[in-house]
Amino acid sequence: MRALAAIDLLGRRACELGVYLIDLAALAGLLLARLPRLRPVIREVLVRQVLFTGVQALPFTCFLALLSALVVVVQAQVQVTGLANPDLLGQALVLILVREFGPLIVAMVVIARSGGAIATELAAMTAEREIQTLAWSGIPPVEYLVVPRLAGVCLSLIGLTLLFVATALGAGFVLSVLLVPGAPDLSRFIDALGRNLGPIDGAVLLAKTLVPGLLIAGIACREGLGCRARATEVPRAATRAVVRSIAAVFVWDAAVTAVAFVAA
Amino acid sequence: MTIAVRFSAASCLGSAGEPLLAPLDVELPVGEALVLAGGGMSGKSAALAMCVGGLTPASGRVEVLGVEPSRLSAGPLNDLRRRIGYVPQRGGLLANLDLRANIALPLRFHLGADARATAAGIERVQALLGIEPLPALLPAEATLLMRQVASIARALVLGPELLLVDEPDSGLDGVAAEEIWRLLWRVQSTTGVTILASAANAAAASPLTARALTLVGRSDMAFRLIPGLA
Repeated sequence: MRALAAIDLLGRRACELGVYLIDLAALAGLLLARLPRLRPVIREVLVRQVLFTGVQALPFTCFLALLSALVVVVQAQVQVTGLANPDLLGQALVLILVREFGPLIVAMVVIARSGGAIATELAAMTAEREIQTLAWSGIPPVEYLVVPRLAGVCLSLIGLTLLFVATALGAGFVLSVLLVPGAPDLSRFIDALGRNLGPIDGAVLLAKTLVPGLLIAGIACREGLGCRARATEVPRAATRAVVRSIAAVFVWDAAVTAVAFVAA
Repeated sequence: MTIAVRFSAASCLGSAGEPLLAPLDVELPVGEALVLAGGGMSGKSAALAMCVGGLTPASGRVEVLGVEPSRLSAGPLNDLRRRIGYVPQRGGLLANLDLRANIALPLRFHLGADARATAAGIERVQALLGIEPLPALLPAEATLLMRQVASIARALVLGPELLLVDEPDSGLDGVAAEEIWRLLWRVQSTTGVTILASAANAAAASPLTARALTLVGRSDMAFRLIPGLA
């Protein structure tokens, strides 16, 4: 009997996961369908979302990029004792920050700042029956509230990640000149970056920002709109959104790395 | 006589199967007003929700402006909702938009109105209601009366054929409650819009209309006062 119950539970969870993924895919499809002809009022919501998720996160993202570059440079200095191979720094920065931790760190920043905020806002609107009023007034909440948030988070994540990468590489070079004896000069550093960066890095960076953007915003919107109309559901929705977004982004990140680099 | 709203033995159940509205038979002709009165759990809000397709009748039929909302798919249902102004209890305004932006939202969303058209639309509805220009306050900063007036203005801004108003006097003191009902009477007598409203007390809604239908629901079962404390 216990085995049957376990199989039953497993099956139910798998079905729930399947429905969840279908919902997220439907939201992504809706975004693609609506994006080319956004109403002006929805464009305004999109701009506000980019302002909150992207622009206001710029200083913090740069700060994290600076610290990440410092960590890489110091570790390279300590572990490789003065960079016997000067090209190693460029390689380390590309491997660690551009391919792996850059997109992941920025995704965590966006989840912490915006994923929880979106879920909280929408759950509070659900609890206060604002969503119901919108729908009953002929304004589809998904079109007015979800589409601009999906687009805004995706655009912001892509922009912030590019900024993070640029800042980390720039800071990496400056810090290496300041801290590491025998560090490469600028031309050699750029040359090393060029040799370690390929077209696949662009594709991987896009995959590690576009899809996580959809996942973060989609999960936050689904949790916010899908909760029951009670004030006690608001913090629960926010917590679920943050935890599920982190899990989804890590799984996606690992999958992209496996496909792009291990398989290649 | 054209009928704007027709309930034909329409009843409604909650998500757990509990009865929300006992079978209701009533007709509301175009251009008239009707108040559904009754205590808590009597089904007033459920009746209004069925008119916008928010709830589906468990039995019977509800026809609104010539169609059955429960039989419509998403697109036609949204088209129907555009022809209806819906005022929920306690406003239902978006918390992150000020009162004027809330009123303007249907204009901007449905008609793509620019700043000038939006301002003209807000002025028109304020004149219709006979009120001073609403301040640029967020709903949380405004009084409940202001929120209710803004909510009515938002429902009227597209010039609806039918206005559904769910207990507009909920939470208001006696004077403010009377103001709200007088405001609705003014709208109805000026524009001739059909109004279906709900109220806890039919007498309170008398400034709007004398035509009221009292719903009997589960309010008497909801709780009983302890003898001696009543």
